[in-house]
Amino acid sequence: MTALYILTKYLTFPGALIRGMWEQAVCRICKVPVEDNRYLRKDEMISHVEHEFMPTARGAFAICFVPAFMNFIGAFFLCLIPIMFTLYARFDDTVLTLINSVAYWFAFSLMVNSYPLIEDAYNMMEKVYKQGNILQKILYAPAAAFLFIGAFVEKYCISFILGIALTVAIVLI
Amino acid sequence: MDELKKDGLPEEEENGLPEETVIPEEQEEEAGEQDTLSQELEGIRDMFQQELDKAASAAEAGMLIQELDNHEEYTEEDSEEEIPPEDLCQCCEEKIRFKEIDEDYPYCEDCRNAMKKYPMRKSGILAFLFSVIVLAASFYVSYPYMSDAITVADASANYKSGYVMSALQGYYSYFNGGKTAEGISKRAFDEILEGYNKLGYQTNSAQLINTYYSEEDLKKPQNKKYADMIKEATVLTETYDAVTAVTEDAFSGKDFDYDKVMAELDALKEAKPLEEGKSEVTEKYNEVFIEYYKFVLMSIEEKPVEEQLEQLKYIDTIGEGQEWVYLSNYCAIASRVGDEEAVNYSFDKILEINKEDSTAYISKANLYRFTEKPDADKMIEVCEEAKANLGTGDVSYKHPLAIAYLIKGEGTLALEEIEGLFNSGNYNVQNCNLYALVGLYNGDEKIYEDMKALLANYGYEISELVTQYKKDKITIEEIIKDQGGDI
Repeated sequence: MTALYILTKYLTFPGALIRGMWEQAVCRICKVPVEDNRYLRKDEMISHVEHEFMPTARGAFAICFVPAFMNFIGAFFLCLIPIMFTLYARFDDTVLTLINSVAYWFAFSLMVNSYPLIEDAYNMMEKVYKQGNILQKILYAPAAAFLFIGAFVEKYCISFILGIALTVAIVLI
Repeated sequence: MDELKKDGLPEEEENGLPEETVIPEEQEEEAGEQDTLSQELEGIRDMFQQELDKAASAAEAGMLIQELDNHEEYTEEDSEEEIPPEDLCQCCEEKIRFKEIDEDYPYCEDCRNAMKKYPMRKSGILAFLFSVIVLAASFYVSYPYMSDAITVADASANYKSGYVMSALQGYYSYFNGGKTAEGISKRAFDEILEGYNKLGYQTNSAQLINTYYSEEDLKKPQNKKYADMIKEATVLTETYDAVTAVTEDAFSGKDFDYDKVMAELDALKEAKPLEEGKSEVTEKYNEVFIEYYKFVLMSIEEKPVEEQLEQLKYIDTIGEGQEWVYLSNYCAIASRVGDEEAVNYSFDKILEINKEDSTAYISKANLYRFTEKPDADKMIEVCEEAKANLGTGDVSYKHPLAIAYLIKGEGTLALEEIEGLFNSGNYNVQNCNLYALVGLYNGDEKIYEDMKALLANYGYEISELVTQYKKDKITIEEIIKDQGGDI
């Protein structure tokens, strides 16, 4: 499973690199030490940075939420035009098709690499629901649930499979 | 001097007074005034010296302690050899681990602080910048086609949602832009053809195909479906020609032999136009079309609506894919018969093909009109549903809505609806008659006269039912319940 996980990450390396970058940026903002910031590596930490656990509920939520949010936003904008042109179904212009294909691949890679590391997800749940105040518990709940499930989805490469399924659906629509 | 030191100092310490206050009187007599002064000065000097010595000794002791402290700190910092290897920082391997974080924490405090500012990797930043460049490039190369793409995407979305008429309008504007065969969207092309065929515009399909495909292109196996569409359009056209030739008298209002014409229509089903040299394409006339014309003849002959419905139900068994030919009439006749099951069946089927088909709503509303006790509320409900689904373009539901208000006795609302229908350009005979009827119901004879004049301009007469209502020979209820077709 780890080999497949690493393979999918290498196939979607732009998203993996960008995900790692956002994660490190959050660590810097929260002043949390980063022990290893290699975004591409050959273990399960690929696309993530090794860092100390966030000490606060807000930080623990941010390390999961911000990279996911940024990647989803990026994926959304990058896939808009390619999807529109897939619906448009004009593939005679090579440059147009090629660039939009690259854009879609970027969008795909960002989407597949959006979810947090499972340890971070656990830490988020622990910090938010044991240390967080009532407002945080309520406000973070939908996103926290989504990210927590997403962490498992990514761990078992389901996000990659979902991405492929979505792509096929778009082409077939 | 020494005595003074020994004797005088205790007294001074005791009393806290200056030294001169303790000089004996005998000495004052023996020594001169000058000696006394110098002694006093010496006393003061000695006293200061003593204090100075005390302070110096105290200061000396303090410095030593400080030195000792400094010495200890220095020893602690520099005693690498004294730190056990397992306590050394894993990063710098020089300093002791920062165990305040955790007993097993592997780094020293300095390294930990440095890790908080771990430099960002260029690879991540480059990937981010590249994604922005890709987004910009995608937008740049796509921009010239954006308008067409949006039109097609919008039309396609409408088509997928079942709003076929809106989709066809979108596609029509797209294809009207002078596209070349290479530059057209395949999706748009396929969907507009499919849409045309669904709604019975096969001739338009054939024209569009001929615009972009030559005869040679249509012989290629990948274009077989387009060639088949052209063939289908040709068969329909030739069937129409054959059927109208047989039914010419019936449609022109002349006397005709119903049974003979029906038999001739049946004979067309067995005809072989291609072999008979009447066609270059059609091997067999379209049976659904022929059967539909039989229904039309039944309608002209004013056969019972139940019989007409049976004919339409038969057509439905053979008419898959050609629902556009008969389904609207199926729903309308079923509503006249009061066959709720048939109305619901055809209503759903019509909307499945095209959600913007107003005839389904009108027929369903009429189902609640042609009953023993017309149900105006249900009619209004169906019309409201039509209003929500048909959009602003199609207001034909206002006709049954106006009738529903007449049933409820709300003449003003009925007038509003029929006026709305008229103002949107729906001037057919039935709407004119209903407008005249609603006008009379509201006591406005001018509307009746206007409608009469309008119909006369086009060679029509106002309905006899409306005229009879004007003469109080028939009631609104009777018109609505039994004579619905005329208004």
